[in-house]
Amino acid sequence: MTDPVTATRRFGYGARPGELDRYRGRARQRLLEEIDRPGIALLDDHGLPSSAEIGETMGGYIAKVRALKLKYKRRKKSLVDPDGETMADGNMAGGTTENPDAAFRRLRKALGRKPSRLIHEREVEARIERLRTTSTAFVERWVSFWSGHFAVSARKNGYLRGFVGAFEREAIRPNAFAKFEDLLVASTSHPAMLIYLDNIRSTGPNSPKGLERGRGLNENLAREVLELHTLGVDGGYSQADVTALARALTGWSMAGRRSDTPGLFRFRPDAHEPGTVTIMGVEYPQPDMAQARQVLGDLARHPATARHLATRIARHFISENPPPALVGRLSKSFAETGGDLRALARTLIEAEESWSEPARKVLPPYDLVINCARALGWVPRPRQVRRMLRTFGQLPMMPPSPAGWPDGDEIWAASDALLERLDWTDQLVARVRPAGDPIARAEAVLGGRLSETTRTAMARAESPRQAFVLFLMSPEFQRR
Amino acid sequence: MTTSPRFRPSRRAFLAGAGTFAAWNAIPSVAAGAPVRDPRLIVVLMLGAMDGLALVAPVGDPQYANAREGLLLPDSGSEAALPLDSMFALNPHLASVHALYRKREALFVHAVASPYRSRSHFDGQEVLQSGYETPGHVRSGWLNRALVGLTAREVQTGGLAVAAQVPLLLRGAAPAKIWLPKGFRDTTPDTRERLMDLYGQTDPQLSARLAEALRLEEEIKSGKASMLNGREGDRATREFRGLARAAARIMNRDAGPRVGVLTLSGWDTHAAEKPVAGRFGRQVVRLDAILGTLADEMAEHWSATTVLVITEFGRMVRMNGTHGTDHGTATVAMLLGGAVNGGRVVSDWPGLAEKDLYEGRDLRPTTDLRAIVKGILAEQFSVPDRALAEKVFPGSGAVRPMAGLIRT
Repeated sequence: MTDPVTATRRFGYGARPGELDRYRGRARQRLLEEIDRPGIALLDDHGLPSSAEIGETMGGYIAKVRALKLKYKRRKKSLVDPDGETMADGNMAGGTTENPDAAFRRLRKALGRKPSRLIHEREVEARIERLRTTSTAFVERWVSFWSGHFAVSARKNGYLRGFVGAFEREAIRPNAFAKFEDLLVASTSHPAMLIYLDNIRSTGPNSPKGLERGRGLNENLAREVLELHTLGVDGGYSQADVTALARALTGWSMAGRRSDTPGLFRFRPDAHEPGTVTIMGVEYPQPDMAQARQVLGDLARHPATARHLATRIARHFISENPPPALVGRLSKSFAETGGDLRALARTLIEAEESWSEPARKVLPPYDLVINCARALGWVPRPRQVRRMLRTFGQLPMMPPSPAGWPDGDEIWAASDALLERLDWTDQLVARVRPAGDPIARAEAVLGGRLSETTRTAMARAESPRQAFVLFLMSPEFQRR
Repeated sequence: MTTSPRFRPSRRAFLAGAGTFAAWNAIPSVAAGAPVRDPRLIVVLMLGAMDGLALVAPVGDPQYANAREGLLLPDSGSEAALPLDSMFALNPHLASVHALYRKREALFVHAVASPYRSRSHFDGQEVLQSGYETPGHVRSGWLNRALVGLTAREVQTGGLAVAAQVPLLLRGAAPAKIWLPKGFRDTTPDTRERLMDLYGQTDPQLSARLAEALRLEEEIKSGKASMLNGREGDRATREFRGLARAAARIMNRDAGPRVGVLTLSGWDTHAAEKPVAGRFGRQVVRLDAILGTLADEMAEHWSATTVLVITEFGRMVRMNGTHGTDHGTATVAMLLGGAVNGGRVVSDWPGLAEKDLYEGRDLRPTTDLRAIVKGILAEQFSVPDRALAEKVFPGSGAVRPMAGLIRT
């Protein structure tokens, strides 16, 4: 039984009114067609800047702020110095002697808002718009899974904040249906990941740079590649493997602010640790970048990686305790196709369990916003969304750690969050004032899944507003 | 270099006094030699790297005036630093804490740092909460792992976080619940009842959780009114007081959680820090509101409570070019509560002379933060040495638990 409700909920962001009809009778087939469309996962119709453009914009901004700071320091010194010459100079230039602190604040303000914040806001808005309106929602859910798997967080620092959206558009989306190896390499070499997991300054102790400046390794990226991105924490690697991979990854960095390609990946040979490394019993004698590149290829094809990814996918889409047979099938598909992600998605869609397992997973706050927007035809304003997601602790592209957002079935329904959800929903309905019959709307979104109990509760509601609230808070709507 | 005082001390002092009186009434229930009965531990995380030298200032250090130019606590007037001992003085906004100190219910440990020695907030906070020596361990926190080892009843009651999500400190095998500050106006009681009814018929898990949330809310609302409920302070201060009150009321129940976490971020004072009248000063007002409220509201259980106040790392000793301080290393940790053997500042003071600073810029750490936490967990919760060294703080065998922090 492949019903349209599962197609739009387990594999989507909920039906918009009328959408169930598109999937009726051929839900599975339609999903399979959607993932076969070339370039379907790209997000290139919003005029968002590339990493190169972001690097340039932010580099320019930082240079301006630094110049301002330098001027401020000099000015301040000259005011404190009992040296009349510079004072006179300041007077001539400015006409009046403005307090340097105030002048600094004024000029800094005149530079405008930080470009990283502006870019981040545009990225978030573009995604909400895409998810609210898309007719190929499974593709977006699949992208979202991989973005969580290769999590980068704008929480780390202001500079990274400008790049997290570009990371998803440049590393994840073009490779979401390619080979896993391509995705892994794209992620590991993207400036956002290199910044997030501190690889940009990781230096081989015996490299020219290391010997000259006494710098050393940073194991952060190497550890997460093994623990989170490929083999998994029980994947059989040791601390020695982590250190060895960190050595191999030295030199994987980004071009600096003053280079001709700021914001882009750059391999720095003078920071790369020379010599052979051994990882999981395999020797890697390759020079320079080719070394870690080869390791990543081998890790991508490792049986532990297949198991780890199969488990994560089944947990994400089905339940935190997924049917072992499904995990086995996903793992097998991954291994047999050499990590083909389109084949993996196909296996997930074709699996009987994907259609027969009960809906257990409570919608994360971000997905709840999107589901409500689609169900009610609500066009959310960025500020409303930000406020809601801040309260519920899921600001977009700001996961708490490299492990991404938590993925348990009911993790987002912790005691008090559920009550808060009810209050938010009540206000949402009051503001949006959806027109029409609440039960008809519930049927258009939930189809045959709308339970008799919920239907009765809605029918007995004291007002349309209360009926809509019960619909949106019903287990059928909250779980998928 | 401090600016004009904007603070109204009289009303504040009155309120702090009232809070003190309520806490003083608490009955000590501790038998000598035995671990503290039915203990409670509340951890207040100050995120953003708190400048310990602006909170507990080493006024007796001969280098203090020079090294901290622009960041000194006033030594006279209505906002004079509050004296602790011959060496240290307290930020004047910590009036409630000072009152506890005089009752020997507050203890400071200075020149403290976690094992983390770089200066990234993100990694520093991870180490602070995970209890591992290095960043990157994000599955569970030391407080949760400590809880796992306790008696069945203590594990069952789990941990409480006042947050939107469970913080790393409380993540792990033991149950953890959250309480959120109200972000949205309440829906009507009728709608709540109808949804409870709907869940009752269709979804036992959601039903149990909603019922739990409604129960929590009821308990917070029904708590007895306190002198500190007033509208004193700015909006943020009132909000934080509300959060502290909620946490205390939930934890104050006999069946309540034994451990709790509160977070106060905003300590990243790179610019316009001003320990008394600026950004830092405003933060301290909030911190005092939180701590004073906890002392007041935990009344019945205060005698068996420890409040541990910590941050990821300290800040540079000298002021930077924008009247603030940049990321540093050692800082101060605070222990408050009836269970605390207080009235002291514990410190192997490293000194503020140029040669004594860590990497020539930061206060040098002389006490490992883990020694303090291990001391509390050992003496207050009877967590065995081995569990502390292997489970709670893996690889910390060489770090001895600090003795004598808890009253026995």
